[in-house]
Amino acid sequence: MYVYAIVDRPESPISKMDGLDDAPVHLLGYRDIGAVVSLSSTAKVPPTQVNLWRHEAVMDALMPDRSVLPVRFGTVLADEKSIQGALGAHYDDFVANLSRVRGRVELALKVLWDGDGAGMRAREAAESAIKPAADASPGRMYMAARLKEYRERQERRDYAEACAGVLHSALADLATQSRIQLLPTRRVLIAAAYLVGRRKVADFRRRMEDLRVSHPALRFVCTGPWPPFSFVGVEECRNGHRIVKSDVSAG
Amino acid sequence: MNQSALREKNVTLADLLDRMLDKGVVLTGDVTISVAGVDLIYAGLTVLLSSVETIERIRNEGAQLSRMASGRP
Repeated sequence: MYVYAIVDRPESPISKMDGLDDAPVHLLGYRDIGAVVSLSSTAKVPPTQVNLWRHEAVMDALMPDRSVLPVRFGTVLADEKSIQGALGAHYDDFVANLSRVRGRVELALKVLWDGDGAGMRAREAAESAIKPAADASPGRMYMAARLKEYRERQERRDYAEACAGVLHSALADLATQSRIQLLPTRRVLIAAAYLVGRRKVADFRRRMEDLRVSHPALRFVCTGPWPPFSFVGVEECRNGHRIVKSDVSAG
Repeated sequence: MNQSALREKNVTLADLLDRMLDKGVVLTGDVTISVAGVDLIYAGLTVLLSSVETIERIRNEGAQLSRMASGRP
């Protein structure tokens, strides 16, 4: 059986819909929670665009009526009994998570690093590093190149941290939780996720527009609302606003 | 579809992949590990790796499109 989500209010029937491979979706209740599932003919569901969007569509259809904990794509359990077992074994966790995300959605925000604004500053800073003479020794040339790289990386990191501060002061009060990842790839300065009450989504978007106007050198891309994918872990319960530094450019 | 809409669609797809394949509740038989970031992936390492490549490709295409859209080289 393919599992889409863990939900509350199992007593309230879900609307009729088709899941992966057009199999009808249904709800398996366990006490006051449930798992939303459909029959699957295979244990390994390929992550095609069609399948990914179908999984997402099922969760979207559930979200207006109940709290939803999204299950990772590709989760297939043997039968009804093993699903009931998983619900029972982690019942307390699921109830706590469902209550924390109730009435809230996830909004994703990326701040892109481009050549005009922030990137240029970093390059200029690096260029101002000591330039070796044209006839410098290979060792000296090598050290100068390394120094340039180091300064560029440092500048980029400083800029990402400054940006995280700007985002925090602009958006944090609208979200009950946030996850901000600095420099997840070379081009992405910040990848952030915010857990926002449904009624505050419009305010959040307005603040995003303000940020666009006040920071023309940066590109902001906002997607969602998503089911609360980034906020369903045990660790996620403990922290309010968290910044993750994973500097891939350091490699 | 204009370039801006296409870019938006690509970013949305990258965000979808990022979430579906790397986040969310993980159920493996009677073990549940709900993580964002740490990782044991039920769908399999091959899927994870191909999704990362896909995300990177989409991001690169998105960046190229955004340069084209703004008329920069």
